[in-house]
Amino acid sequence: MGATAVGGTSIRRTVIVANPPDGLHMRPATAFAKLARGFRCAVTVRNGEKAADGRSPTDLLMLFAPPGTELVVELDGEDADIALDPLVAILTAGEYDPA
Amino acid sequence: MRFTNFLKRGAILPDLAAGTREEAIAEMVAALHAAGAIDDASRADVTAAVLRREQLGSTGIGRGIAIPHSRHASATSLVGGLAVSRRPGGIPFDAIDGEPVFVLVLLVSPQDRPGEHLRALDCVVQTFRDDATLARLRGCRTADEMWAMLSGE
Repeated sequence: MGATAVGGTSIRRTVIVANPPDGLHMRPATAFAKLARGFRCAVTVRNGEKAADGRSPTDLLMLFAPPGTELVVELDGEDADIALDPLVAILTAGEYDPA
Repeated sequence: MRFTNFLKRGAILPDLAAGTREEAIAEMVAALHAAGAIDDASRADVTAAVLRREQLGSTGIGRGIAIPHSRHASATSLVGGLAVSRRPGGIPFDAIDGEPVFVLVLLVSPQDRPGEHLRALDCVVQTFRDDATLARLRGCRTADEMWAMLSGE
């Protein structure tokens, strides 16, 4: 995990493992996208070479991430610092019903 | 996995009558039941399970698409239904983009195969990832046309 401040814009990047019991299924994907839409920073989620716009549940579902998949979350923008933890928490929560 | 691997041909509704999310789900479950993909004893409970899932958060994923779904004990294999709404205003679905829904895919899957469920979700969003495909589907007037388009027949 790293943070860089450039001219007032912070860029943060972290590597996480998706822990919802059934992977990145619809509930975490839509919860993530909904939350991401509330921040100004760009949100990108990567699974290997595939990249998803974190604001799009469709994009996130197309990452096809079963349990244990290593996802990279990239945030780029002035509120990236405050957006990172809640967004990552959705992917690591492991508290979603299998739905 | 292809869409037509789990889509039941008899559960394609080219002109959904429903005007609400609840009606749409009930109509689609009824179609799956009529197609023989859900047994008599489970029909009401599957409808309730899909509605309960919606209460946890809408499955309207934007661009006029919704994928209501449930894992259900009665399901022995993954089955799906497909519906298009011709209502000018679509169906209010509390979708993530706030827009009404015109294309619905219902998925009912066994409880013990989460990987298969995830693949089906991936398959559906891949199928409709571009607007042109979505427009072609909405342009189909019959279930046979929709099946032919999706199966490549």
